[in-house]
Amino acid sequence: MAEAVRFEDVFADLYRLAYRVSFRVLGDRGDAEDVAQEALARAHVRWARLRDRPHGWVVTVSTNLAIDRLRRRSRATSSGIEPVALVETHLSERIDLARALRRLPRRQREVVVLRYLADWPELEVAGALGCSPGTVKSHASRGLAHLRHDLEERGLGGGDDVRASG
Amino acid sequence: MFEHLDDPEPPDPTHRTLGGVLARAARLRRRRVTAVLGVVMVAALSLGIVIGVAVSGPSPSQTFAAFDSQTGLLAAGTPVPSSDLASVVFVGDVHGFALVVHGAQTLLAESGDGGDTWRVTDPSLPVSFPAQFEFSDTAHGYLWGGPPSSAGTVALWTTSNGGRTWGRAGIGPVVSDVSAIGPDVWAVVGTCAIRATGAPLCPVVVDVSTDDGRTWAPAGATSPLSENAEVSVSDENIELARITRTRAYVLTFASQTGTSEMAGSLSYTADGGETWASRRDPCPPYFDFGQQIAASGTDDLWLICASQASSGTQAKALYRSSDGGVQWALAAAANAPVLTGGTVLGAGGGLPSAGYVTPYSLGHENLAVLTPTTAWLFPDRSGAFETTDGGRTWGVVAGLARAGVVNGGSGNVVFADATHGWVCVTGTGLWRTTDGRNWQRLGP
Repeated sequence: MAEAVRFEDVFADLYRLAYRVSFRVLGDRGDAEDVAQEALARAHVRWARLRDRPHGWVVTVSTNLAIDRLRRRSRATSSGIEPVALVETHLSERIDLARALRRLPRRQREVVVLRYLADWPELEVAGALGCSPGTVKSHASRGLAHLRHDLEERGLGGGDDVRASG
Repeated sequence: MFEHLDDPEPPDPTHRTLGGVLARAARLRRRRVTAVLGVVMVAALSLGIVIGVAVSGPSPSQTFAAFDSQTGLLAAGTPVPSSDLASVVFVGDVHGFALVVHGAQTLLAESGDGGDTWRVTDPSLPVSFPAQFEFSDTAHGYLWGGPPSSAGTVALWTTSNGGRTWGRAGIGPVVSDVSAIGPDVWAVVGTCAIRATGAPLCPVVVDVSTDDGRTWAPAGATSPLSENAEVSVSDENIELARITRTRAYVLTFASQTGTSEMAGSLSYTADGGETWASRRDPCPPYFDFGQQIAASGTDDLWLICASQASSGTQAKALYRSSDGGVQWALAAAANAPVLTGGTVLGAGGGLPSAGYVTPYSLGHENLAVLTPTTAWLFPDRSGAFETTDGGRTWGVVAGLARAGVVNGGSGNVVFADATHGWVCVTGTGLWRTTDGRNWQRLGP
């Protein structure tokens, strides 16, 4: 019988993954570390259920937490409460990305996040989500189309930067 | 493709980082244990028994191993963790149904104990989430919505055996909303397939079934409604609010001029759809993102207007009518001038600006109106709010926060009666009240 995967053994790998996707959304080192820690803590609580395939879950939860964090930060800014470390060159792009991701249907968002925010190959995304590579390709294509449309609609030209790679 | 957003020098996790994570996990686990102990104590007290030994149950990994695989078709009867429910409906205070995303499938789960436990009924529904569904009793159900087909159609599926099998209803091409009162079922149907561009305004009709959805016929007169076939009318832009078997309101939100200006249109019938009358839409034009309607009785209407949404904030306005939509009065508003061209309404502050209502909500299931004074609202990515003064003021549902609901999710709120209600936070958990005040988390 295969030995159960221990949380401590894969912690560093999962943490780097969570930090990476969080930073891509947040652009702030402290916030990204906080989100990564929270996502990993939640994973630890559910480890009995997650240990066979935790990576997809961690990416999804980290992204959602990061989007929420960015949203709260934006609200604080608009209400005059200035958070730290907001002077960042790609901030508007990150905010638009977070908004656009939120508007995607759940499945498309999962695929886009794993495929393009975490840079996973299609086969790995399919394995994590329990669907075929063809389904991943289809959701990724539709998700990208939505992202393009959404970013272009905001008139920021961001849609041109959203294209499939690899 | 987002490499340019990477941290050039990402920190490396250390033993200290791991320690911090484990400490957080311990705190999370304690909160869960506290909640579970609270439930156990309440149950023990209500049964009049004294628990003298530790109670232990099957571990989640044993109970939900099949579900957690997230692969393949599950067998009927497979346990489903309540933390994975996407949306729920209840017929009475005991029997409930839920949509659940499992791998590539959307499945139907069922509970016969008020939501404590769930099992698979149909492992592969003919629609994908976010679909909408409704059950008129434990046998008869209706399923529609979700992503349109490649031909731009949205079908209605019906069941007469509690969701074990589904048949496609002979109406369409775009079924936008459905409401069943016993065997009497109405469907609001767009007469044009959804098109990506260049679509004209398209008539909306109401089809009626009096035999649990087996056969259908158009309602007497064509309703004075139209839809914009460019948008996904299947989920958010048309809403049917039925009061009795003969009285109903249909709200559409569409481009009225063929350009980009969106506005609501409200119609009313009191004779089963034989004739329709238009009602005034009270929403100011800068609430140009969506509207949703609910009713507690024949003449008591609640209409929420929604602005553009940004950064978790959306301006909202609640209008009330006590004469069936002839006259409206502003009850409360959530002002966000940046989203409404600088305009603000009176009665500001009564509604929460945080969170999104239509068109981001799940169907129209995030507003539950029980009486002319009492209602619940669950804006997407926010928390649950309640009012007991007819919508003038809304407060966070304190009992839910005490029961462990963390704001920021999306989902739906349903009430079987004035005291039995459920809040489903999609992919997070299910909470129930049996007295309208205190809430408890159900299942894992």
